[in-house]
Amino acid sequence: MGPVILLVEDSGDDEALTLRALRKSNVANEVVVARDGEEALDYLFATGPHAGRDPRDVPQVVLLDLNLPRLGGLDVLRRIRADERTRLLPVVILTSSREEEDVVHGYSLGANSYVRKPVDFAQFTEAVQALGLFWLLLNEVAPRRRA
Amino acid sequence: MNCAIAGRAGAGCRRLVGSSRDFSSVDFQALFEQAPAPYLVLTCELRIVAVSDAYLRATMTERAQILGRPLFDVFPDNPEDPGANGVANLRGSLEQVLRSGRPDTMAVQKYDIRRPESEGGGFEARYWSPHNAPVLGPGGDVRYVIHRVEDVTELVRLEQRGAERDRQALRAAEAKEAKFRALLESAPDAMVVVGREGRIVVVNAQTEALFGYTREELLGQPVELLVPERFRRAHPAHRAGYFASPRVRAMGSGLELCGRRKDGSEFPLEISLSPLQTEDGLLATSTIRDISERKSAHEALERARISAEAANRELEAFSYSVAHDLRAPLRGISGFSAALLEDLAGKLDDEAAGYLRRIVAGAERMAQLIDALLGLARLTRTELHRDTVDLSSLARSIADQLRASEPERAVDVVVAGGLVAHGDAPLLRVAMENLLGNAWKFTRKNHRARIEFGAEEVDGLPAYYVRDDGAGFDMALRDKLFAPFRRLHKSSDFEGTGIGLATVQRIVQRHGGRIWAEGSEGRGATFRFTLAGGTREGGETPWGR
Repeated sequence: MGPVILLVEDSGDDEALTLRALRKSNVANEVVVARDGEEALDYLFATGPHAGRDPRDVPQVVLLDLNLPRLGGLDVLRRIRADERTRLLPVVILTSSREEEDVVHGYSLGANSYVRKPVDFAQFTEAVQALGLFWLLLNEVAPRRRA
Repeated sequence: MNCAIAGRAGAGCRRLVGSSRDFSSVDFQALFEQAPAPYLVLTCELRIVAVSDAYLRATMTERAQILGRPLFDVFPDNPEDPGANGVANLRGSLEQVLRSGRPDTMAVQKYDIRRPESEGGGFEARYWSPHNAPVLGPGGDVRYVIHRVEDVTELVRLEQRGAERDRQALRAAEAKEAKFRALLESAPDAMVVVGREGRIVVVNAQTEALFGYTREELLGQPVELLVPERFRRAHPAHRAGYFASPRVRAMGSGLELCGRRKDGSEFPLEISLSPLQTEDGLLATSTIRDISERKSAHEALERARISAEAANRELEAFSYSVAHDLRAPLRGISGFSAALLEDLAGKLDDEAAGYLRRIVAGAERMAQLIDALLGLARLTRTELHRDTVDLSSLARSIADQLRASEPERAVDVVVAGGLVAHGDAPLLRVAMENLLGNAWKFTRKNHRARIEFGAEEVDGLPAYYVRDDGAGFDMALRDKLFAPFRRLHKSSDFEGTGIGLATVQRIVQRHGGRIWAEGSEGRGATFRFTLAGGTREGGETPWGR
């Protein structure tokens, strides 16, 4: 099992569907779920309920929803990029409409990619491939053929 | 000294020279008859007893015909002149002379004379200046009256012509003045004419109505009377400035000008100035228009526009959040249905699986509609950036995409070259994609289809058109073509969200243009649009033709 995936998502439905999609995509990594932006930052920087966690232990990738209560997705992203420890952390934004895709383009806050909800296998694969995380995330076992 | 006289009285003259004091042999009759002035001698009964040659010439008569005859038999009034009063006047004067024994000079008389038959007969108009003098006997009694006249016809005629000219000139001047007056009074604007010193010279009725002063209260007053107090001090300098370089112009262009009524109230106005060169020097004419109504109408319009814009923005924000929030449960519906289909594969009977597939399809369709709605809302939100857009090459590239999507179809796409518009490139692409995409879609059932893109002039503007020979539509329903989610075809025949033409209309309207359609069922459709003029940007007015 590799490093964790941090899923920042407040909708239970979307969480369930995303987890299912990851499972179906053969992603074997542990998925940590944060329900809002503050919780996500607490996890990343080992504060609040997550005090005591080693902040150097960064997730492999963050799946970040834009519509979050309290601290929004873009604010979370801004904080991630502003901190030396997480500056290079791959962040994939989960968008729920084409509108939001535009927003992601427009802000260019350093999102590495975006995936449209509900997360489907093909789009997700594309995103992680683009990030070069493919083999780290996808536990696809290539059929071993031995001569 | 006079040859004519010398010829007739040559012998007498010589005698006169020889003995200057001897008058006994003077031929007085010849002297009288040949005197250079017209004389007529009358008895107390007004019979003609002597006449001078000059008189005969002036009256076109001969001595033999008139001597001894009553004066008024020879010289009656002109029967063709009903106003002739020469006889009466002359008789009056002569009788007075006879009565008083004193001479009388008459006013100029019109006294027409008879023309001899040899010269065509009738009467000839003549004017005379007559003088009647008595010839008294030794007892002081009047024995004769000498009637002397002077033919002043030419003089009178000259005077008459001059007077006529004067009268005409006067009449013309009066007519001009009246015309000017009428024009001034009927002008819809107040007009105030001011002299160099700033005193009001002329005002019209509108001025009285507008400012509440009577004409008498205004004439001669400084024009500053009509200016609000706070501007009065500065006004004379402006006035002097105008007289220094007088030309037709608006007063204080760009400024909000005010007038002051007699009751002290103020109103917004517009003034245009023009110089008027007159005999009395340079005057300035100011044409004053009350713009309170226009201003309040403009303000009401502006308020309506602002509130409409706010309502629009609110509606957009609302539709955006509704669309957004609607999408979230939809993801659950379709996602979990799909999960069930997957997880229970083989355990569900065909009917149950079919229901789940319908749920998924329904949710997906709804997601599409919501996306389309969001897209439409976005169109009104984003700003318009006008640029030069080559519609011809845009149409060609879209046609290439369409051909690539269905290479098996036989469609002739004819694109007129060189059609360049001034508009927002991304939006125009969306519009063209929709129109050409529609044409492509609705010609699907054609064995061979033809799609044209071109332009023609409508009301002086280029109207671009996309024409196809496809399924067409019922013209009775043409107003519904552009309404969102209105579809004129069964989705089993032609798929679609029903938002395409609404989107095109929105884009065209945002460019200040309009779009309209012609067609008939089974015989194709033509969509025409303009990109400027017509409705205001963002205007929602539907039009039917």
